[in-house]
Order: sequence, then structure tokens, then C-alpha cells
Amino acid sequence: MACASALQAQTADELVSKNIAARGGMDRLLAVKSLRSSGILQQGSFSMRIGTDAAPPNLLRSTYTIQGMTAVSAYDGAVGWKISPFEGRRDPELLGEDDLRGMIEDADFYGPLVNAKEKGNKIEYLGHDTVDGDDALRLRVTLKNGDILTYYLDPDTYLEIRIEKTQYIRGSVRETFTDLGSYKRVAGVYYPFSMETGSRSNPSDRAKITISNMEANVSFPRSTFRMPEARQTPSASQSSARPNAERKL
Amino acid sequence: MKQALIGFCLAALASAAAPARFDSGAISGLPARNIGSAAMSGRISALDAIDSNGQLTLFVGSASGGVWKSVNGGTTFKPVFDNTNVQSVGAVAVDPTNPSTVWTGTGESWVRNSVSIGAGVFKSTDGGENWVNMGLKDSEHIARILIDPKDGDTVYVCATGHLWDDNDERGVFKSSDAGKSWRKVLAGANGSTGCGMIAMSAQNPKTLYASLWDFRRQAWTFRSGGPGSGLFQSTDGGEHWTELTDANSKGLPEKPYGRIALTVAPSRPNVVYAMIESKSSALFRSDDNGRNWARLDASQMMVWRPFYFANLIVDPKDENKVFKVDGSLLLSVNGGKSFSSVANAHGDFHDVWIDPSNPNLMFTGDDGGLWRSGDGGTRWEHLLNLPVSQFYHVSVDNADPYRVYGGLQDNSSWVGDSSYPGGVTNSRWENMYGGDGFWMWEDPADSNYIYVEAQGGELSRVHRVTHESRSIKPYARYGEKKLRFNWNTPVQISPNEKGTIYIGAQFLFRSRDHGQSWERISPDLTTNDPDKQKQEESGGVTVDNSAAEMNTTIYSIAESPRNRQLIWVGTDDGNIQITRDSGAHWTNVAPNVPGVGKAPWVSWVEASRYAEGAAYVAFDRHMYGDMKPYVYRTADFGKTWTALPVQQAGVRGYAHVIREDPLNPSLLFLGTEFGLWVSVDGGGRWAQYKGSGFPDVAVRDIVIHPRTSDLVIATHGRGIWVLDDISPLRSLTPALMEEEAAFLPVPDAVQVMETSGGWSEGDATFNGPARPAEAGVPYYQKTRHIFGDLKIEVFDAQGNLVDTIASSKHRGVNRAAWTMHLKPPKVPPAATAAFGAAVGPRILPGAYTLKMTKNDKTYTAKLNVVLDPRAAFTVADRKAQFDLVTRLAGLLNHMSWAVDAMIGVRDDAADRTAKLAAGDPFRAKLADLAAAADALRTQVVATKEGGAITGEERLREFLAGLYGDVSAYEGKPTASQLERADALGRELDDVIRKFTELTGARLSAVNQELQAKKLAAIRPVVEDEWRKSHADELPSYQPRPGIPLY
Repeated sequence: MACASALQAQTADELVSKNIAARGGMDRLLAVKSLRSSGILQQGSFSMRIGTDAAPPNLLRSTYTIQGMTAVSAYDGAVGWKISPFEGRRDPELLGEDDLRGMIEDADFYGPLVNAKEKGNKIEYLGHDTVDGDDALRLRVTLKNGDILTYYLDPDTYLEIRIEKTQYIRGSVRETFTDLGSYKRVAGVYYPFSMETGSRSNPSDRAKITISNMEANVSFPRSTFRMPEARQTPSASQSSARPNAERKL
Repeated sequence: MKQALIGFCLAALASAAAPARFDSGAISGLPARNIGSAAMSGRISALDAIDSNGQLTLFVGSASGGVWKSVNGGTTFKPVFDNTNVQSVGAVAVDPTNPSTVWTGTGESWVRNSVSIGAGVFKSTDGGENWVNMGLKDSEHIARILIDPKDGDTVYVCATGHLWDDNDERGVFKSSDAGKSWRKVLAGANGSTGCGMIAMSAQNPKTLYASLWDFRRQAWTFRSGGPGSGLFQSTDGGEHWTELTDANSKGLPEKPYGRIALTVAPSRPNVVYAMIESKSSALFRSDDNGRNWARLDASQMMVWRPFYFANLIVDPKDENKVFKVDGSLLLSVNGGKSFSSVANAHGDFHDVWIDPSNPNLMFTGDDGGLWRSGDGGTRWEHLLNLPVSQFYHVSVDNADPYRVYGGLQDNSSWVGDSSYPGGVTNSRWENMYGGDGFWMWEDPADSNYIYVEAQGGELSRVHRVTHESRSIKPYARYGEKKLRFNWNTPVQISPNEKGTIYIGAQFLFRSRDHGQSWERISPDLTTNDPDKQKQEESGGVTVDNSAAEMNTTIYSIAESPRNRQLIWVGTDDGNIQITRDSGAHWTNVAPNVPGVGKAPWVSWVEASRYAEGAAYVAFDRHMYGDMKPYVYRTADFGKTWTALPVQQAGVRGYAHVIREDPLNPSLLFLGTEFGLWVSVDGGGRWAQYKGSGFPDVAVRDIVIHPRTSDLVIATHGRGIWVLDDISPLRSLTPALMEEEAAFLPVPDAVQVMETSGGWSEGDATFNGPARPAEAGVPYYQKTRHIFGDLKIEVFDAQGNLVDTIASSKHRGVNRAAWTMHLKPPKVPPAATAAFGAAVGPRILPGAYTLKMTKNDKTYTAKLNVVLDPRAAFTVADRKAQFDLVTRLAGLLNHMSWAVDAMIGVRDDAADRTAKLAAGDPFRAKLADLAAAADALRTQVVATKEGGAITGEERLREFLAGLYGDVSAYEGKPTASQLERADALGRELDDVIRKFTELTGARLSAVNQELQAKKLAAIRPVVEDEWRKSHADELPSYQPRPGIPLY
């Protein structure tokens, strides 16, 4: 029963432990050494295929594909980069510092709740709250860089049902939220297969992500995450326009 | 917190034992849209800010819309107080010793007739993001919070206290432990005296000045001033206080005092200003810590309405530059001797904040929102991003999208779009009148005209376009003193007769000719108590008779939807009158209502549409200090009444409105001072709506649109909210809530035109969301969906799978959104993306079947998709468009195959070339083949990369553009589009034919030679095989018989 547990789980540490246990336990969690997922991102009537490769401690590569063209954003633990081919350029570019900040946070493979102290993350239990009127338990995670993640845990399962992110970019604030659900077990660990993210004030202005496949412990080379060499791109060179243009790089 | 958690858990345990939980979670999965507006915004009561090296963090306290925080000097704001249970703000204060600590005193202290109440002192230790109640919960109104600039644990609260009745938690309170405990260090002489204002200088925080204010508001009068009012000083950090009188200071006016505004010059702590309300009200200044006072400005605006404008602000660096808030914003640059009106703004100012590091940068808040000056207060910019508008009432018309009409506190009467392509910006709202606004209706008999009113029954009929305005209010007869119109005079439109309108004074009036003439169809329906009709004596020390205290008036009117001769009237002195013969005879049935107390305001009468004798009545007793809701129901024309158990069900706040759903008699909506509540069982159980962050804000009026079933909510502090299509709530029966999951009746999915509008306005202006363009698929689930898929599939009439919808996981009522679009066509890769073809065809109107799979159970429902009723085209036109779109999509898929085939030949040739010896003459032949294949490809797709605007267009770009053009309009395609489709199809065929000829002519010989060299043959991919290998990217759904799969 959630409430009996919730009453006992009055500290942040206990709640974090319950969350990790609910996901499958620390041993199983740490036994996952890589993840590869793919699915669909839908925003309004627009949709694209997405893919993610990730590995500990903080390697991440995300892809977004339409019309045989694939955009990439990635972080190799030191350098964040992207390829944005949709307007005619396929050269890799460094991520701007503002964008890199979110990428670095997303790249934390096991998430900020795992080994939080070692990462310099501060976690506080903010008590009972609601998500659209429904009960939730709230954790505030202040990252080492000062950004804040607010976790709303389902009081029955202790899994995350909403994460709000507040980023402080040169003193200004960026806020996003993500609702999570449809947890499925991969290598003994529960991962959300359904996410909805975007504006709180506009229900129609949200991206819905549905993961169709997720594999753990996939072998991929570290170069997956590394920024490729830039092509010598003249102002208007002729494209070979292969179906997966990214391979050309 | 622990107490709260225990309460939550006990409640959850109790509800777990019950068959199903009917609570906020059960009903709040339906989202709501806030459409503002921030054009007129609303009353700002308090400001504070902190400038950190030029980065300004601003906290804006609104009268009834919470605290808003800006971290960019006012470009954007977010509401940060919505996790608390209150929205009225009297004071905000940033701890000068630690800017992460912010204090809010709830309950505005500018105690006009419509003021809300607070719930004590709140503290945030994370820069205003989260708040904890720190006590003084019964203070109801707080004027100011001061923090010792040398010790952040020392905090002073100026608790004004109850407005409507005596209480003890008022006066000056001090905490020495950061709010853990409070001591009352300055108490009033009686139960009606609280703290009017408190001030100190940061340079000398041990010396404080406070005014005590003896005041009382009743429904029919107001008193500012009395024996408790006085001016006090403490020189030991608030521990001991001395009243400043003739005995210890010179120059102060004669008592009795009313309210006193106070401030100390930040740059010279011995300079004190006080605007003292007395029989000789004026601004006073002391230059010696209050020992001697000079009487200075006493101009009309300086002393106007002291209860509402008791605030003085001195420039942080110049003790002689003083702002006095009032109807105008007054500025003195000569130490208070004289003042000029400086702000071209809305008016009725309440606070000013001046940047200490740059005194030219200022903010002020008035009844019309927040204003910024960059030149020290001479010119002002209205900040248009604060939707804290205070609506009293709302109505709708039948336009599509319908328009919303409503009047607001001190902000006139406005009409706005409920939806607009690109969003409901401020510019989608139009002011139609003036003054304070209340009821507002489109004339059902002539939609060119709108009925509007200002305070005190100033009713006019305004032309929608020209704004020509004609006063149509009824007047008193010969010898009658005056008609008594309430501040918020009820104006009602007959639900049975177009053109019939009612207005209530002490008599009920009816017009059937647009206000040209009025029938007086009742005697005085009030108690006509002369003791409640002495408004000319209202105000206390300063007379204040603005119509806000008018009493013994009609306050609510309801003509029965079932019988035009049956009219209910509620008064502000407790009467409920009913006539069943169109006004010939009236009966007061209020004595039949048990347990509501003496003379409540009958805030709402809702004549039932289901039974002639049935009605709901909401009573408001907050003007007696009773903040509880009271709602009753009668089924026998008022002979007997049953109290709905709203208090027992946990409904908070005095009741403003009770609405019956037009289709389900068990579905009721209740608006109180603290939110929106819903009952699905005729009023037995109630749940607070909390979807989309809807706060605990006053809900003053509710209307359910008869066509769309949208719930349109008039909040007094957060503007208009639209809860699109509440029809799922109509099905929320106890039996259904027992189900693990179920589809709720699915309304017709209107294919709202997918249009665009508006223009980028940046971040600094409000933009409310437009109505959803998707098909809403409502369903219920007993518990939150955590594990595994919750899949909703759509099938066409033939049983073919059309699409799969992303679902919502919320407990209770949910609504999934289906875009009604098929997969986009596969577009061949090229230099740039062809976004014109990035969205799939929109499905045709018709009957579809929904199938929900949750765990191992399935549920089905029907979905009927219909055209936008505004469309000028027919279903046949729509089919013609769909056929062309899918044909073009098919051409793009066909093209993708062809391009892949060309690339395959080119790349295979290159691959084989690489395997040949350097001098092999066959290499040239293969290279030539590759080049020929690629040359054909460049006839199909644009290939110039680089990111510049190349202007290069080939068949792909032309085709994708045509696809986008035809998709963008859902009616019949143009002849040019049809011709162009034919032409592009032929041109594509031409290239493919050339490719076929190329491969036919060369591959045989090439492959023979490759075979001889033991290399794999080059084989262009066959289209069928290609389709199989790209099945996941191509549609598997054949949208129309006879129309090929695209």
C-alpha cells in the first residue's frame, strides 16, 4: 500500500532507494552498460523516427529522421555536437553552450538519482503533491551545475510519472516537463516507453514519444558518440543524397 | 508536512476501501486552456524585486491571481504560487540577506468590496519556486512584510486582519526564528483594529513605524477609522511600541485617524513620511525620527480613498523624491510639498518598486496590471504577459469558434475569441465599454449588439463594430429616491425568448425591445431595510460611497428554461423570490431554507432545466466573516430545500456560482472563492478540478457552451479558462468508475481547419492556446497506467488499421488526441528536407472504430469524423482533395523507389569499380554507368548542398510542394493542381523510362563482364521488393476503395 510506504519514506534517501528498487534494483541497473532505443516522436500532425544510443557514464547519441535525412545530436563525455541536415548542411557542428547543458544532463546514463552524492547532486524530499490532481511524491534534485530536476513519483510504485526540469542559462531560466509511463522491463530494469514533453500551459504543444524497441548491452564503438571530421563543404556542393545521408560522413 | 501526509494517506486509505475514488485525480485528466487576457490584466497589489548585477528578478503579487516571478526583468512571468491553497496576495518581500528566501503575505490589504482573503504567511527558500505556510493563517489580510536587513531570521508582519468581522490575529507580529514562531508585538485596541502599514529603513532597522487601522466593512457600509487607529514607533526592533501623539511629538493632526500610509526614506532614516487619514487628511513629514511633523500636500489625489491607496515609496537615493500611489501615481521631487501626476497608465496604483542600483528603472502595479518605466517614472510601458484578469461573469455566443464575453473588476467589459489560429493573443480581445464590468451578453435578437454594464447598473447596448453606445438602464419614478442597483447588478437574458432581458434593482425589470422600454414586474423584492441604505454615510473618516456598498438589492435572476413565466430572484439581503405568473405575484421562499444563517447574499439561482419546480441556490456569507460554501436544492418551487453537503465534501470558499449541466442532471459545477468543484451525482460528492495547473482561484461564473460542451470558466484573478468538451464527465457514473477501464462516449471529431494565424510577438506578450485540432478520444481508467502499453488503435469501416494513438496515463478521465493524419509519404533524400510533404494526408470524414488495449483487455468504441461545419466545401470535394493528396503521396513513394534504384545502380557500379584493378578498362564503363544513373537522379532531386538558398528545384521539390499546396486546403483541388499532378507524374515517368532504358541497354553487357570477373551483378531494385523492404515507412492502410495504396 502506497501510503504506508509513503509514511515511512519520509526522507529523500529512502525515496530514492525505493525508486531504484522499483526500477529493478541497483545491481540490475548498473549491469546495464548500454542502451539502444528507437521509436516515434509526434508533435501535432508531424512525426519523425527517433533513435538513441547511450552508454555510461555519459555518452549519448540521439537521431531524428525524416525523408531519409537524419539529424544527430551527441555527447562523447567531453564534446557535444550535432548534424542538422534538413536545410542542406551535413557537416557536424559543435553544440552551443546553451544546448550543450541539456545534452550533458540527459547523458547521465543512470540518471541523477543514482550515486547522487558522488555526482554532487543534492536531493530533497518535498512531500506530497499532485500531478493534475493525482497524488505524487516529490523530490527536488539540484544538480551540481545548479539546474533543478523535480521528480514526481507515483506513490504506489515509486516510479517517476513526471520530471520537471529548470535550467539556468546565463541567469535566465528554461523550464520543461516530461510525463512518463508505459514502463517496460529491459534487462531486468524498468524504463519508460511513453513520454510526453513540452509546454504545461498548452496541451496541444507537446511532443509525444513512443518507444517501440529498446535493447540493453548493445555493443557499439565509442566513435558512435565522437564528433566526425567536418567535410569540406563548399557553399553549394552536389549531394550524393544517399538514403541515410549520415553514413556518408 | 507530516500532518498533511498523514491526512493524504488516511484519505487514500479510506478511498481505497471505497469502490472507486472520486477526487481531483478522477476528473482532472481533461486539460484546460487559459485564454487570458493579459491585455487588461488585473489588480497588482504588491511588488518586490532584486537586482543582481543588472539581472532583475521580480516578484509580482496580484490581488487574486497569486505571485508571479520574472527572472528577466519582466519579459516573461510564471505563476509560482499555484501549489498553495490561496491566490490573494497582500505583500511580497525578498530577504535582503538571502535572495533565495522570499516571503508572501496572503490576503490583499487594499480591502475593496470584492477583495479576497488570504491564508497567512508563506515562505520560500528556493527563490519563490516552492512555498511553506508559516502561520498567521487567520490574519486574512496582510499589508506588508519586513525583513531585518542585518538578520534574515527577524521578520515583521503587518497583519491587517479580518475585514468583515473581529479577530485576534491582527496587528504587528514579529518572528525571531525565521517564521517558526510569531509574537504579536503591537496589538490594536479592539477586535476591528489591525496593522495598516509598517516601515523601516535598512540603515536603522531597529526603528520601526507602524500604523494601526480600525476598520470594518459590511455589505452595506464601510468604515475606515475609529478609536483603534494610530501611528506608532518602536526603537528596539519592535519589542516595544509608543504611539505618537501630542504628548511626544508635534504637528500630527487631530484624531480620530483612519488608515495611515507610512514610509521611511531609505537613504536618510530620520526622514519619515505619513499620509494620515483624518478629518484633515494630508501628507506629513518628519525629519527627526517622528518627533516633529510638517503638514505638506493635501491635494485631492493625495487623500483620495485612503483605504485603497495607503502606500508611499521614497526613492532609494533621494529622500525628497516621493511617490504616493492613488487613483493617479503621484510624484513629489520637493520632499512632499507638492505632487504631480506622472503615469499615463490604467490608474488606481498600489505599489512601486524602484531599482536601488538604477533608480530610473521602476515598476508599478495598478488595477490594470504591471507597468515599467526606464526614465524614473515619466513614461510607462504596460507589461502584457500577466493574465491576472478579474472576471465577474462570462457568456458565450454561437459563432465558430464562439466568442467569450465578460466584465472585469475595474477593467471594463471585453469580448474575445475562444480560439484563434496561432493562439488567443491579447489582440484577440476587444474592449467594448468602460468602468468596472460585470454581465455582458450578445443580444440574441441582433448579434450586432452587445449588452454591457458598468458598476451600479449602468446598462448599455453597444454596437459591436462601431462601438456606438446607448444607455438603456431603467430609472426611478417620480418621487422615488433612487433605484438600488448592486455593484454587480444582475442582467439576464431569457432562455426562452430572444430579445427579452432582465435587470434587477430592488425591483425586477424586463424589456422586450432591447431596452427601449422596461416593465417593472415586481414590487421591492428585498427586505428594504433602511439601516442598510445609508450609503451616503459610508466610508468612515473619509466618505466613500462608490456604489460598492449599495445593498438591499436584487443580486441574482433566473428565468426557468422550462417556463418563461417562472422567474427566480435572489437578493443581497437573503430573500429568494419566485413568481410563476411572469411577475404578477411573488413569494419569498427564503424562510424555508434551513441552516444558512441570517441575510446571506443569494449569490446564484440556477433554475433547473430538468424539472420546473427545481432550482439550485448558492449563498454567500463571507460579508459576515463566514467563508464556508452553502448550496441548496429545491424540487418544489422553494417550499422545501435540501442542503448539498458541500462543506462535508471538502469544498472550500464561499460560493459564487452553481451550474447544472445542460444534458446530465447529475453533473453540477460549483465555483467558489477557492476554485472549481465538480459533482457527478447531483451534489452528493464533490471533487476539485486541478487539471492543467488550474489554481485555487475564485471562480465567479461558469457557462457550458451548448454546441461544444466546453466549460468556460470566469476566474476572478486568472482570466478565462476553457475546459474543452466536458462531455466525458457526463458518463462518470459510480458504475463506470468501478470499471478498470472504459471508453467514454466519443463525441464527433470535427476536422477543424488546420490554419495558421497571428504573428510572432516574442516572449513578452500573452498567447493562450487555441482549441485542439485533434479528435478527442475520452476514456476512463481506475488507476494510473504505469506498466506496459496502453494502446489505442483506429480502424476504418472495413476493419483496416488506420493509426495508433499515443495515450494518456492519468487516473480517472483521460482524453487521447488523434491527429487524424495518415503516415506521411516517403520522400526521396536530397539536399534539403521537403517539409511540404512531412505530414501525412488527413483522413476522410466517416465512421471509425477505436480499440483500446490495456494489459490483456480490449475495449472498443465508435468514432464519427465530420467536416468542419464552417467549410464551404462538400464531402465530395473533400474526397477529391484526398484522392489527389494520396495520389501525390503515391507519386512521392514511387519516386523514392526510383531514386533508390538509381542510387543503387550508381553505388553498385562504384563498388564494383573499386574491386577492379587500377588499369582495368572496365572501370571506365562502370564509371560511365554510375554517372549516367546519377545524372538521371539529379533530374529527380535537388542535390546542391551547403545550406545556402540554392533555389534548385527538381521533380521532388515540385511534387512535394504540390503535395503541400493540395494538403493545405481540404476542398476541391484547383484545375491547375490536377494538371500539374498529371504533368509531374508524366515527367517522373519520363525519367524512370530513361533509367529503365539505361539499365536495359547497358546492364546485360555489364553484368556479363562482372560475372566473368566473378563480381556480383548489378540489379536495380524492383519496386515491389523495395516496398517490402520499406514497409515500416510506407502506409499499410488503403484509405479508399479504388484508390491505390500510396
